[in-house]
Amino acid sequence: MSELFRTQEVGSLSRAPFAKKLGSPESAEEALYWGKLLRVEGHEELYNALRSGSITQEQLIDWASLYGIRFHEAAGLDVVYDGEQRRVEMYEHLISRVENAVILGRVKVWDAETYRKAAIVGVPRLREHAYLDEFLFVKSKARREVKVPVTGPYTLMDWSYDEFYIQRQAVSLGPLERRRRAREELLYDLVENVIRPELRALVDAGARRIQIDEPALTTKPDEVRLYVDAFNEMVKGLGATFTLHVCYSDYSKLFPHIAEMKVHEFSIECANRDTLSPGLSEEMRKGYSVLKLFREHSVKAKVAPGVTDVHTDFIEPPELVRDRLLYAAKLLDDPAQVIACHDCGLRTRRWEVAFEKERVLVKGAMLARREFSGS
Amino acid sequence: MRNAVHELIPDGRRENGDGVFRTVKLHGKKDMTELVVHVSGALPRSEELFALLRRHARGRATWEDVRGAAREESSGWVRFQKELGFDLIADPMLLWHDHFRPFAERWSGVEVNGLARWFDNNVFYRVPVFKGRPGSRGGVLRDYLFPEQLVGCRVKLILPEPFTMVALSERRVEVDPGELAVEVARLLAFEVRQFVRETGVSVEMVQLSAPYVVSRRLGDREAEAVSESVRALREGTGTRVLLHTFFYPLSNASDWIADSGADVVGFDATVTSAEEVLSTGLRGEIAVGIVDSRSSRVERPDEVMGLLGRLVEAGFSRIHLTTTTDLDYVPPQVARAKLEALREIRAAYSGRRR
Repeated sequence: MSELFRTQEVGSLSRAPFAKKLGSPESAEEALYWGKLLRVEGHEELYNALRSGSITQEQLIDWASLYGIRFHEAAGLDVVYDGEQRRVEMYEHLISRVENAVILGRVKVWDAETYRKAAIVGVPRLREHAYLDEFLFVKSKARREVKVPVTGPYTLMDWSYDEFYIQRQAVSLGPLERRRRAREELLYDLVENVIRPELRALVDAGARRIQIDEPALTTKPDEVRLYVDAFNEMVKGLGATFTLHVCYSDYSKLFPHIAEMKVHEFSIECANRDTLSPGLSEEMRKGYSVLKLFREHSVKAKVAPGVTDVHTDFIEPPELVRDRLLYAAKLLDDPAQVIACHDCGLRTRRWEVAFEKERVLVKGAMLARREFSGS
Repeated sequence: MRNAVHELIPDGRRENGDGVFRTVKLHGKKDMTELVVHVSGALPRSEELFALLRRHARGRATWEDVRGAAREESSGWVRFQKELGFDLIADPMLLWHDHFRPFAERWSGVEVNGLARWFDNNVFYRVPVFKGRPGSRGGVLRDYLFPEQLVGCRVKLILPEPFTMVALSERRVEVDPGELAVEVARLLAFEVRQFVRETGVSVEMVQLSAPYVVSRRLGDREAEAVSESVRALREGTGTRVLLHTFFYPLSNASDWIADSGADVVGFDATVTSAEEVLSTGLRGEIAVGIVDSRSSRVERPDEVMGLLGRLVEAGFSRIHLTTTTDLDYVPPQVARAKLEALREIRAAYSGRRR
């Protein structure tokens, strides 16, 4: 593994092209094309199965997972997963396995984008593991180190309705205090009854890198302190390297509290806010100014600033990726504190685009390393 | 003692005597209180309509396809409000992606940009960008609502509060935000006038959705800009204005809200207590966001009687029972139950006071 500017993915890829086009004549051709490119062992078997229509849903998903793993490996990443090929959507994948969480229906996030939202109607408990089988499969196939993404408790709470905890609070507390207490109780129950059992199972099964995804974390800034305490409770005694991924957020809201978080790595989105011109000036690298806060607050954890934008098909030149990494190292005053990754999962990009973005990530990190090795 | 003075008339409509609202009137401590009911924002789209909108965004469905499906759904929501006996009927705004979009897309001098979080929700809006002074040829409301369904109804139009819109926008034009807000107010008033003239819809009230004005304590100049915008809307439309606040406590506006010039001020009862409302100095008429639009739990009348009782005792002459905000934070079946809850709350309160 690279010592400086380790490269890793963040989580999702779009569905494997052969799975997306299942039932059409192109499906088998996609399996063949990507199988060759990614050097997926036995891809001819998948090709034949798709051509003859003799493939089960379970087999299809296993193949998609394998292709996802090889996708990252072929691009040259140091730390990989399977592109979350088994998951419908990050929230629903977990909440649908939680007792006393009832999915009520689809609600808007923006424009016509939606998600299926659940109501918490009692004390939540993990009904079945959401990530264990998936991790075991990846672990058995991966040739590189593995990092498993897990949806965090704050996002589960914030994206769900609460029909239970609020009712347990006395009306005399007043509306704001009732809500504060209800959310605190719910968050800790999610930590204790849902996430910790999942994390413990993963660690027991050999997971050594776990990414907690919390896109909702800065939604209510006055709850960041609460989350930091809950997070520390969540990872207590678990022997793994934890990454916290927060994207498309006002990161200033995390400070000063996250300096006290018992986390090893922060993964944040920066490329989306940056210019597309190479260079190391503050003006060119404005997307990375948030890193100053990490230094000002003496955050010891490593930082994985996104150096490729996952919401555009623009392929960043390796020199741009390099400069973003070098600038991050400069702001943190320590290249060893910087990890190279994307802003977020590449789910919204076609595989062709996503693969190119992975390759430039690896090339850019290599160029950045050269600046420190002198070669 | 019989406090409700409405009479059932032969076609099933209720008349209250003042010719403005079909209401339930109640005797409070000092005076008679009227309860009126309406929804305060967009209603949810069906899964099918979401899917059609996504197909349209990918170029696989026409805007006419979308309008056709939305028209049908909209009709169902309008009918449902009527069945529930709501005093004011609102278009469910199914074509509105967010509070600002129709205006940001159609007005000259304004464009839409990237996504930004809508206050403390897992909901995002596209940021309007003022590239110049805004202008309009009108027709926005006609094109984004379904006026034919509202003809013959007493209608409440729901619009963005101008200062909220400006504050949440990007400004690439050299202009004071307060001044720009008043310009926006005048344009909105123009849109309303044209809508009424072209469609024959009877607009009884304009609601300005104003979360920003309570999201923090505004400075004097900002508060004055809100008030001036309210006045511009009021004078420009000749219509009563409801300044509806939500998500944050009304107490954040306690020093100016009573002088805002709005005919009615609305507050979010999930974050504001009766005492906070009373401390603002507001009297006369008030709108209570009593049904929580962001929760799936359906309110029981007995849970809100205490709050209503306090407001009646305080002598408010008219209380508007409404949702905290748009109901598209919940799926359609929950939204229906929430609208029914508004009816039940009114019925329970009027029954209790008899």
